[in-house]
Amino acid sequence: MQIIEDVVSQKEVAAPAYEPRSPWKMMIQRFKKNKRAMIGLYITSLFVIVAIFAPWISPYDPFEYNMKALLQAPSLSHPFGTDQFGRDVLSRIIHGSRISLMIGIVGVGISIIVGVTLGTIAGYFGGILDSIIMRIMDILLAFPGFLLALAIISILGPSMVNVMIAIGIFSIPTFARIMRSSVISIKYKEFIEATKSLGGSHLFIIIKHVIPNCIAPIIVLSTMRIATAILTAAGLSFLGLGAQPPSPEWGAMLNEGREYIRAASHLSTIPGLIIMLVVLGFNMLGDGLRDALDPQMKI
Amino acid sequence: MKQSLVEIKNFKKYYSSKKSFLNRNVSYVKAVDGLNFTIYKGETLGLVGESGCGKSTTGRAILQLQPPTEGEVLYEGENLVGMNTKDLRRVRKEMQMVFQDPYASLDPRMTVGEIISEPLEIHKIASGKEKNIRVDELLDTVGLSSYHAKRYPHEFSGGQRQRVGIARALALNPKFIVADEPVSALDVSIQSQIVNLFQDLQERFDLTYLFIAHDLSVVKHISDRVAVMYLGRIVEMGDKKTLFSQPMHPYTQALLSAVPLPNPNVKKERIMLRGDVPSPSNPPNGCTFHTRCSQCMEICKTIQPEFKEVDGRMIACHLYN
Repeated sequence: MQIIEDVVSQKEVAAPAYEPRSPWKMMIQRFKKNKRAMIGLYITSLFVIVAIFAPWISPYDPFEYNMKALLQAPSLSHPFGTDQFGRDVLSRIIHGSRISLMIGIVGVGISIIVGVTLGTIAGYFGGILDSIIMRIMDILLAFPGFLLALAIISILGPSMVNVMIAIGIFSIPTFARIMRSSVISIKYKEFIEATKSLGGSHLFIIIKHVIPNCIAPIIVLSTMRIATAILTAAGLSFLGLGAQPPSPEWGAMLNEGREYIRAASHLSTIPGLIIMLVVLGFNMLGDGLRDALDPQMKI
Repeated sequence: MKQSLVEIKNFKKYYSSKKSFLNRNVSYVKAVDGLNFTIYKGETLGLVGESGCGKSTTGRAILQLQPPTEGEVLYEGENLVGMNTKDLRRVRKEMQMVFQDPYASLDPRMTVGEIISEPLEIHKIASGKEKNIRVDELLDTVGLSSYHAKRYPHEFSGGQRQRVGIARALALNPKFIVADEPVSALDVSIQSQIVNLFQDLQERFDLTYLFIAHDLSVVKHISDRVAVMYLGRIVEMGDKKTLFSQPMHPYTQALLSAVPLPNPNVKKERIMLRGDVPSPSNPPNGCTFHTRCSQCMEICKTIQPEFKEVDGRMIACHLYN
C-alpha cells in the first residue's frame, strides 16, 4: 500500500517552529519595506493622534479672543501666529484636525457601507439588479464630484453634517464600481463553488468569502478617498458652505485669512500647507497599501 | 445485486448565448445533450472525453451547482432538479465535490483548518473543541498533520492542497463524491499518491465516485466502469476491463489507440482522427461523431444512434445494430 507509506513519510516531519504566514502578515511585511508608504503612515498617524488628543495638546483655547495679540506673525509663544481676533492659529489647526478627521471618516464610512453593499449585490447577483444599480451609479458618476457635493449642500443647506452626507454620497459610485468588479472577478472561483456545493447560503458565501477577498482594493480606495473628502470639505468650507465660523475648520480658516493675506499671509498659508500635508500623507499611505496589496491579487 | 445510487435521466445542459436584451435570437451551446446513466453504490464510474465534451458540466450539474436545462437527477430515488433549497442542503451533505484546480478551490484568506471546518459550520454539526478534533481527524485521514490546520493554502504544494480539498469533501461523511479531474493539475509523481488516496478512502468510507478525467491511464487505474463522452453525449459505457480491451465505438478505439505504451519497441496502430471537434453550438446532425468517423455510413449522417445495450455494455453507434 503506497498510500500508507506516503502518510508515514509526511507525518515523520515534526511540526517545524514556524509561524503561519497569513496574507495580511505578508502584506504588512511588504508595506514596511516601502519608505514612502511609511512616511504616509507617519503623517496620517500624527494627524489622527493630534485629532484625538486635541484638547490636551493645544496650547490655547481655539475660540478665545485675545485683543492684545491680533494678527501676530509666528513667534515662540504662538508658533503659527494669531488671527484677526488674536486666536492662536496652532490651537485652531489642532482642533480643526478633529473636524477634518471626522468628515473623512464619517463621509467615507457612509460611502463604504452603501457603496460596498450595492457593489456586492450588483456583482454577485448580476442580471437586472446589476443593471439598475450600476446605471444609477453611472448617473452619480456623470457629475464632477465637487459639483455634486455643491448640489447636495444647496439642497440640504450648509452645515457640517450635510457636508459629511454630501461627501458620503459622491463617493458611493466609486466604491460600488470597485467592489462590483472585484466581486465579479471572484464569484466564479472554485472555492466559491466549493462552498455552494457544501450547502452554504448566498449570505454565508458573501460574508465569509466574497467580502474578505474583495476588501483589499476597498481599503486602498478608502484611504485615498479620505484625502479627497478632507480636500472637498475644506473647499466647501472655503466657499462658506461647510463649517461656519467660528469653527476652526481648515478650509474656513483659509477663507477667513484670505482678507488679511497682505498683512498676515500665515493665516491662509498655514491652513493650506496643513491641508496639503494631510492629503499628501493619505495619498502616500494609499499608494503604499496598493503596492503592498497588489501581489495578493494573484488569487 | 448492484444498488443504484445516482440515476441520470435524459439529462441536458444548454448554455444560451444571448446577444443583448433587444436581440431575441438566442443560440444554444449544447454542452450536454441527453445523458442516461446510473451510478451504483460503492463503484467508481470514470468519465472520460476530450476537453470541452461536457464532462465537468455533467459533474457540476449532478450536484446542482449549475442546474440542468432538462432531465432528472435521481439521488436515492429523489429528484434533485428543481428541489427546494432546504431539501437540497440536506442532500448536499451526502454528495460532495473535489475540484480540479487545487490552487483555485481553497480560499486564500482562510487557514486550512477554517477551510476544512467550513462544512461543519454550514450544517452546524460541530463547533469549538469538537470541531478542532474533527479537523485533526480529517487531516489525519488524508495524510496531513494537525499542525497544518493553522497554515494558509499558499504555504502548501499542489498535492497537499488537493488533500485539503479532499478533507473538506469528507467532512460531512458523504456517500457520493464527484471528483472533477482531481489529479490533472498535479505532477505525475503526486498524481499516483492522490489516486491511491482516493482508492484508500473509498474502501474505508464506502464511497461512490464519479471520477472525471481525461487521462486514460488514471481512469483505467481507479474505475470500475468507464463512460466515454464525445460532444455532450456518452458514446460508450461499460466495464473497465472489457471496454479497455475491446473498445467497440470508433471514437473509443481512436481514444485508446492514443495511449502511449511503456515499451517503445512495440509498434501499434494509431487511429488518427481527422479534423476538429465540431462546435457544440452547432453539432452535426445524426451521430455527432460522423464527421470524424472512419467507419461512417449514410445512416450516421441523418439518424442519431440510440444509446443501448450491446454485448453487456451500453453503446451509441449504428455499427452495432
